[in-house]
Amino acid sequence: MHPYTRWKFFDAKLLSLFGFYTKAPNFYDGAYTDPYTKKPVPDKSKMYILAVERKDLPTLKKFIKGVVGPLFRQKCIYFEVKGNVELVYSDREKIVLFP
Amino acid sequence: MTTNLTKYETLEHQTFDLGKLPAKQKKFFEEIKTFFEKNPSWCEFGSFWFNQLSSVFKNVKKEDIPDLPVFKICQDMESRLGVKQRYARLTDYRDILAKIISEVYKSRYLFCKEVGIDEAFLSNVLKKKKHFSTKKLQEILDKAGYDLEIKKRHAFGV
Repeated sequence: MHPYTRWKFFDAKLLSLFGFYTKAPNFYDGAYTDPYTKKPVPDKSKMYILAVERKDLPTLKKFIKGVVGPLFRQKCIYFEVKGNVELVYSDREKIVLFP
Repeated sequence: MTTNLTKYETLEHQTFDLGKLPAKQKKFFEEIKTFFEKNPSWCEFGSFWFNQLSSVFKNVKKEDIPDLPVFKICQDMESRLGVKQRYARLTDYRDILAKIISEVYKSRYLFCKEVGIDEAFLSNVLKKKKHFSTKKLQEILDKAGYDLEIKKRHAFGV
């Protein structure tokens, strides 16, 4: 479980970097197979929707890889742009900075 | 739950005088508080207040929105719901330590070198497997240029 301050930090970063966001009003329950341990992991996700210009997509991906993933100790984040899905893998060396 | 609030205090001890809020923000706070008191899910509340705020304060510059007192209050109410519903937790000294390391030192190695502690022990502390004694924590913070502070605990804001 993450401290509430981590969520506040995330929201503040989204606002400062991209101006605005929309939060989905529900959780998304699911499961995935951990690529490292090969074990199934139950998962509860939140979804954020951002409207960004195409030129800002690399900034958004860099933010997910270097900040969001490590901040929430996620090995990867589900990332969808106009229906195209991508798993953005976190910078693993940065994960250790956020307990 | 406190009713007829005159002040709102956040989890981080920031206090807002509700009587001094501009009328539009005060009305907005009352509406969001009414929804909050129905104990909606953390997700639902987070989505609700932010969408409402974006709509009601659409004439405020986007970059100024996070500075509105009512923004900070709603954000705090969202945090409280997250903690209450066990989707988020309150912070302790380890979270603050991790933040300092991340923002100031860039690596645990550099922090440990600076304050003279074992990196493996720090790792266990941050993983909540071990603790620093108060004396040791004070020593570490002294070397890093920080102070421990004791604050009076107040009632929940709402």
